[in-house]
Amino acid sequence: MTDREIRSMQRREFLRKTGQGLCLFALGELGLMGCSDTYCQSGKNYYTRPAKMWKRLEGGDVLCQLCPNGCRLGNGDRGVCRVRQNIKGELHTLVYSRIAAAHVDPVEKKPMFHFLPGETAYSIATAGCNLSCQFCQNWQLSQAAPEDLDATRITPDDLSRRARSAGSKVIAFTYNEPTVQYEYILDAAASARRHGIRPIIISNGYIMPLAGRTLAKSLDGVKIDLKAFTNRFYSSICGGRLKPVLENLVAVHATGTWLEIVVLVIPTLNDDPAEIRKMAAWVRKNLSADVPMHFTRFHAMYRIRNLPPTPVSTLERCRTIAKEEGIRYPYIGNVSGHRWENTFCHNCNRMIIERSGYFNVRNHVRGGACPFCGARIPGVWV
Amino acid sequence: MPLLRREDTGGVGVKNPGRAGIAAIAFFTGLEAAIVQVVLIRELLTVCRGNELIIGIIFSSWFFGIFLGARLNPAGGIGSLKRRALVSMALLPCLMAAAVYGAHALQAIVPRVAGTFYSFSAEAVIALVCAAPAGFFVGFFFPPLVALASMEMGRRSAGFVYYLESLGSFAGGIAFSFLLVEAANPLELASGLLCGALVIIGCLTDRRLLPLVLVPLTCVFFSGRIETRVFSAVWDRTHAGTLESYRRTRYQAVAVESAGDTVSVYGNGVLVHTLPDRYESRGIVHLINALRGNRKTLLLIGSGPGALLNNMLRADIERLTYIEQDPGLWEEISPWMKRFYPGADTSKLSLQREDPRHFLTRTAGRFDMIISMPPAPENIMLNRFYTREFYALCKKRLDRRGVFITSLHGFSNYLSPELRDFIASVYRAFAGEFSFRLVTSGETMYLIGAAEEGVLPASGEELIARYNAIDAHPLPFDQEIVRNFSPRELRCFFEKTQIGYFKEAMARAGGDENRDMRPGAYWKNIVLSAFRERSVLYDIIRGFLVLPVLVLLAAAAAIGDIGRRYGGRRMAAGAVICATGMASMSAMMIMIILYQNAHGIVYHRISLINAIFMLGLTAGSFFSSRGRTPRPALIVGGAAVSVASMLVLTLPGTGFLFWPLLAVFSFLCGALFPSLFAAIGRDRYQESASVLDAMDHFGSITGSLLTVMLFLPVLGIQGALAAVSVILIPAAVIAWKVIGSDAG
Ligand code: SF4
Repeated sequence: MTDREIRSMQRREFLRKTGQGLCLFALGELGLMGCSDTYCQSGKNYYTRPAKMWKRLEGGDVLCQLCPNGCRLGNGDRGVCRVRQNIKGELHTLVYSRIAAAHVDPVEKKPMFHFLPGETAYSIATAGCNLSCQFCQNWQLSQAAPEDLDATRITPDDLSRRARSAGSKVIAFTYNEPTVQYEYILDAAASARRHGIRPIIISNGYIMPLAGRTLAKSLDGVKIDLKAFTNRFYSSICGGRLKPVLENLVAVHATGTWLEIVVLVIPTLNDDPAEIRKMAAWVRKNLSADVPMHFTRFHAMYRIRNLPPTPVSTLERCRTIAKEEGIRYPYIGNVSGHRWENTFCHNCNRMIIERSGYFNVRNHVRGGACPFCGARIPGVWV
Repeated sequence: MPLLRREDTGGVGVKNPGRAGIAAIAFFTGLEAAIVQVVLIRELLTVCRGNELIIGIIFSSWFFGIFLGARLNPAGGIGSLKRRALVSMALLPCLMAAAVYGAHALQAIVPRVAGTFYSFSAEAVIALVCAAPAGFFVGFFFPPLVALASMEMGRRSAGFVYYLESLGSFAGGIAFSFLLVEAANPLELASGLLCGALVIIGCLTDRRLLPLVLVPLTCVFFSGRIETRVFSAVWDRTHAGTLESYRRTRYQAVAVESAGDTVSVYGNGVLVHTLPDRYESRGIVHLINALRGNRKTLLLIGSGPGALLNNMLRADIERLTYIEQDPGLWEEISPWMKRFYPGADTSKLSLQREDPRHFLTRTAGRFDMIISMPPAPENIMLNRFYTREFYALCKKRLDRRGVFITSLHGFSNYLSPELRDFIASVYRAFAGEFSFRLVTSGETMYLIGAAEEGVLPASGEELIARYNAIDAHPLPFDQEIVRNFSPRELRCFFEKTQIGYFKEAMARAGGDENRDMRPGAYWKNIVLSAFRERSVLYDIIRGFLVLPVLVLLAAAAAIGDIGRRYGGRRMAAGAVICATGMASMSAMMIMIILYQNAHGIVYHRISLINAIFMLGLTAGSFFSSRGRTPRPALIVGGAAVSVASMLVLTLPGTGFLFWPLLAVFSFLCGALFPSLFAAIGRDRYQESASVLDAMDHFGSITGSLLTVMLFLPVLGIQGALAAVSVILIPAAVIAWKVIGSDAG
């Protein structure tokens, strides 16, 4: 609860709330209350807010329309994402401003290579995800329920202030799946823009096109993981489907918000050259040749812990295939020092952004154009 | 109840095998049991994860089988009893082969996503299904053989069978440890054992059966090819690459797999190294080189024979000592190393093939830098490289201005309580030794320590500035490591918000520092794995009283059942031997861990420890069944003292007492069985043998489960020994009050 809120309270209300708080505190101390949250104890849970994108069904059930899981929830039930709950016939988000991780990362780490290169992104996460990828890097966040995590309340305006004081020009909703923070992101992105900060999301793209479009419009950049190009992979490894991701990619791209695609190439699971070729062709045909594609290297993670890292030759092959299919900016990722981490002008093929790792970035792009041939380089540069 | 049906006692063509025949069956089954048990452990560890928890579950499954075999053993005539004993002996090796190859084939039949492990719950089921049937026949042969022996020896029959079985186990353990461990694959072993069993069966029943021996003999001849076929087929279906070689070393099963232009090495089914690894090593090569400054003598532990080793050899150093404890693994990987890293200057390389702690203890040399990059502490053996004692040893071997670096499983962006507590237990052990330190961020963290102030830079930025100032360009490393390099890249190790978050989390974390005698990190790593898998085990661990309560209930049910069927004295004897079985299993496991702490990987020594234990059992049971049978209460009391005296092994410099203490304890365990049998056997020998054998192994089940899931994690090694010793005291009292002596 902020100071201003306390000051604005009427005296009676203050006394009532203090009394309530004391009672709740006593119950908590006696072990009769499960909630140790400061805001719960004060009688107000700031993290629980009415959700958007849902509809009421008969008998008090609700249907969440935010993501393709389309959870139908009875009273008290939570969705697959663990962070949206039917409370007395109304859908609520449980993670509004409930921030479990906040770090300052280079934008390249997201990875976004055509979006303010060399800048930092104030990066935040909550609990929850609508998929369950067995190779999730942030499974401790994504596969947890909100109450399982230590969290801090960061209001949308606080977030902009924090980003600014950290010197970040970008706010990234990342680590866990931002889709499930939908309501918070809409508010926080609006606040960020007011403060001159660029909001972006790092998403699995598993969101309904309407919500995806609305979200994308509120943002300056979207990075989507296209995890594979087969439904089999999505269903057996991630607990989702491919088609909605493709539909959402089209929807997001149509908004004009900057879009980059990441493909984590996992040995044997999604590294078939024919699959990569189909994927790249689809991107060029349905989105644009200007959408950068990052083929990143897999390292043992979460439940897939006994698989060797992706051979660099496999990544090089993916990048070559994408180039052959007309993608202008295919990259190799998680291979610091590799030549194909750098950006080459699609027109003159000269190196215009040099990179080795996330922290060594030399950007030669001037005013969004190639310094050598003057060709316009797609991306967000200022 | 009469022991024999009348029609089987009177010359209907079925003869009692006689003393020599009984001795042969008991000895050979004991020998088979020792080999089968240790082979099952080794092979199941390549399918499951090789930690003590899984070993405990395999042991429990094995003993559960024995328990059932001993209990489900009705009375019968000579023919039936003899058949049971002989069939058990013949089936044991067959079941071992079926379990071993079945467990491997299972991976292809019940596929899992490449690179994942089965969940702990699934592993427990695999262990049960594979180990229990073989165990069943180890238990199943015993009561009938005692019944047959009782016709000639009366109440001394159980002691006779018991010590011959133990002697066989001793012989099996020795043969496996010193001869068979690397020389024979499971199919060869199974075929060889089956040959032996068929010879005994032929001699004791019908000599016309002897030609059957040719079948397993043929199998021995083709076993190598059969195994290669099976393993390659399974591997190629379940892994990312193609199986290049598979070899059982004295320490582990080493598999080499190729995929694309890379080669990966697996130890006991767990990925150990992938070559070439130049890109992955880029960061750590520069980090170490930046910290190295002009230091010239390096000790490298656990990094693998990849880019770090090969590039450091090119640096301006005088000597690089590299430790690889498994010579077999080194032999498998070194041809690939030469292929991927040609022309390495090995004149500066000093290769040590021994346990790193052993090396650190014995060497007199000092190093400018010690770099330790062990695998995660999945088992207690590996936990030894994350303890305060290990860090102290490293510090002792460092030069005055030396630098120590160790790697640790880090975090991405958030520390769950499970991960936080795991990291904290290691970090505290490290920080306890190194007052001057730097910590890096990332999924693999590096803890960097120095014994003196001013040796380390104050921050990552200072390190980067120092590295910038080093006039060593071009750096003498591989292209992949130097191309486009800037010291700024090192910032990925020092991400400010991550490090700030880490420090805050460490201040909040609970738990003790990780120590040899209190291997907290090992246990927390298991909790973390269970949490990651959301396995049933996680819930059992979280409510850690669940297991003891379940065990107590099961024990009460089993003991109550004996009381109902056979009366109070046998019930008391069952309870006593159950407590002793539990204590013996716990003590054995703790002894193995203590031995590991002193000597490193002991897979090939487990069977030796087992063998010595069996020798003690043999001597104890021989003494107890031949001389004047001692009172059970005295034996149990002695066992309690003996377990308590093992505490001395937790003090430094007491390693020489290991074998005598093991021998004394096993002697007492061996003496108990005949003593109890003599006290309760009377004329119902098979029943008594069944009760005692079953409850002895039931105790072993509880011992293996409680040790790995409760005693060790909660009490540590010393606490576990104390607890086991205390548990034996009421058992001694029961033995004193209820059973008395054989006269009672
Ligand atoms: S956002 Fe959550 S609750 Fe809504 S449909 Fe997706 S998984 Fe279900």
